[in-house]
Amino acid sequence: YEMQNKFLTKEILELNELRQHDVDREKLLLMNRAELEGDYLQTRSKYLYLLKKVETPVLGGEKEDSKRQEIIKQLLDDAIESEKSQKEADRHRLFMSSQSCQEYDRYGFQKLMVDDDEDLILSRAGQLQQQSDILNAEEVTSHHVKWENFMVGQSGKYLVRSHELKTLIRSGIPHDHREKIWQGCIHLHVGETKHKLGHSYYTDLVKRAKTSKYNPAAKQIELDLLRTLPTNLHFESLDSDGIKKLRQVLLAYSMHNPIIGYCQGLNRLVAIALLFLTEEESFWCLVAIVDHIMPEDYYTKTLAAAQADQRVLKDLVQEKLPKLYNHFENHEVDLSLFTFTWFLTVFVDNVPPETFLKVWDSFLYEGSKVMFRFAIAFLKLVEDDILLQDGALAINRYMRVIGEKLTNSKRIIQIAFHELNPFPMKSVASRRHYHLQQIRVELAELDLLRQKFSAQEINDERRDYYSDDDLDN
Amino acid sequence: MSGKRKPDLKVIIMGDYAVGKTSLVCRYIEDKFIKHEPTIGAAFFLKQWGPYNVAVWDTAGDERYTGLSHFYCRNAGAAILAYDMSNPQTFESLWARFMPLLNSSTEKCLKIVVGTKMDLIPPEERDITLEEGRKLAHELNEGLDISKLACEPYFETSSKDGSHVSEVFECIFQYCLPLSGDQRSKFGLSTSTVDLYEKEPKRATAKKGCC
Repeated sequence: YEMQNKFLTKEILELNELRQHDVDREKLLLMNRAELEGDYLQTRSKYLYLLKKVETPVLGGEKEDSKRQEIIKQLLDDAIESEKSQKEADRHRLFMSSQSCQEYDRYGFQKLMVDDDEDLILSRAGQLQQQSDILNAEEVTSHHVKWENFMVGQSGKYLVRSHELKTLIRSGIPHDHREKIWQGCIHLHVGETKHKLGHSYYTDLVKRAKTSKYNPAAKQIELDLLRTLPTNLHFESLDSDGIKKLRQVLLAYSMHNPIIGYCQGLNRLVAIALLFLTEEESFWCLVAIVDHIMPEDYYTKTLAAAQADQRVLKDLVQEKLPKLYNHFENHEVDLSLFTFTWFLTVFVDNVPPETFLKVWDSFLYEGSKVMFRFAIAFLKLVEDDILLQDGALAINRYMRVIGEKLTNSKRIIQIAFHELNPFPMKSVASRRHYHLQQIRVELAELDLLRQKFSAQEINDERRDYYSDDDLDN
Repeated sequence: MSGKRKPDLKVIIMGDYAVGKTSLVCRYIEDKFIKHEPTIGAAFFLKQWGPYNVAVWDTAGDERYTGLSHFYCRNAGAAILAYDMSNPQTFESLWARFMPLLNSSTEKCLKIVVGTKMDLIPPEERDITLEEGRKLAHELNEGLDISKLACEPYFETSSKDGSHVSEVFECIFQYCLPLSGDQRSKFGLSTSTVDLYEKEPKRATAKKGCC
């Protein structure tokens, strides 16, 4: 009884503390609300004032007109001023907590700032509109509720594949649950491997990487560290928190899989994993992606499977977006120039974070085939724009910045998982197989050519002047 | 198809990873020096040269991606072969990796060798001499009449401070798409292409003395 008593007392104290905490929070929120309401009313009054002024018929001719313009200018200046002070306040908050601020988004990516004040107001207005849409939309709320329910049911258990979960993940994982769900997805792929290799596998790899004298990957990894996510707060400079982890994970992976070692593109995969997961989890995430999710030979020397995927994509574009396909063909534009990097970096390259994270969600759960769905959805989203581009140059120019257009992730998901249906995975698999065979044959032919060439080269005198260097030393 | 909308010239840039290929193009096109992510596959830039359109293809340096480069080389009118002046290995790579690619696909392609990161290396510490660079550049262009080239097919640049960057491109453009003096001034281009190295012949020859 004494124990029980103690326990209950403790429980009461804890609950009391929680209650106190909530009361404080409520007070704070109420204050915030009052403040916001004040702001809102002020804005509204300014707006109404403006409307009224604009509506008044012009009586005094030019004089009246210039007066009105003055008022509008005054209001615009006000708006710019308050926008600036808002930015100051946000910047201030950055020092208090690294979360959500004006210049960096919640993932640490630098936000694009618009220099022009007028543009700033417009773009800000657009952003606010989008934010309020998100807050208001009922479906978003119900989406969150579904996720909350799922998470409650999940509590601590391993993820189990289900149709329900697939649908839920396809709609995007809310920020707060991403860590847990990604962990779960990674476990689905590498749980067994991890168990087999033992719990100290990663730390051993890191140690081995540190002592190994000859690792051809090390140099290239080092060169790429700062080139991974140069605009992200966590990867900005050599002292940024993410850089050390990134180096260790990549080195460990080069030890784990010496056939691949290091390939440009892997650095981005790890960096994105590190935004949500611990260092060791990110390592396993990379293992899951390269060794399990992606087809074999995706990042190996010949990139054969990655090349095959580009041909598969081309087939699928021809089937799903024939007009666009013909447009590219007519102008001799090679689509893979732009899409190859999408596939190798799982869309981290040239795609906005909010969008590629949605791809990652279902990619980690369902596998590499969703990349085709998304690539085609991206193209379909801007199909009309691309069709308007007349000529190879214009198309190329558009495609180079296509990423900027891919911000409406809701619409993209709608296209990817609904409008593109039917999207039979069996046919994707057989196309992959077919093109891979083709590429292997071509690579073998190319190899033969190279061998012939280098044999010829050795007999050539042209390399002679390198002996000068040898004499020097 | 309208011929006009196709680029009048295609220039490709090749070289080892992290030698600064993307930085070189960006310095020229956008006049900026910023950190770049490694290029995967290739990237495309466009430059207006007088009445002409020039497409500049920036390729990936990672050895894995060079297998794909033969595709990008197709129809290239000129190739920039870039190496990092502070890393002699990258010079050797031009022979070992990129020569074969070019030889097989583009006979008539002008090859320009470009040393990058000149700002990083004091003249007395450099491994590759100006003569070696020029020698390679001339050998690469064997079989091509480069007498009309206004300058040596070899440049030493710094994308950080911008030295000699635009000279590289303008030398290529002037060779492949010649503009008259009138045209040049009409499009706001400088009217002379001075070979900067002729003015400072001493700077790179320090090491050669011992041979």
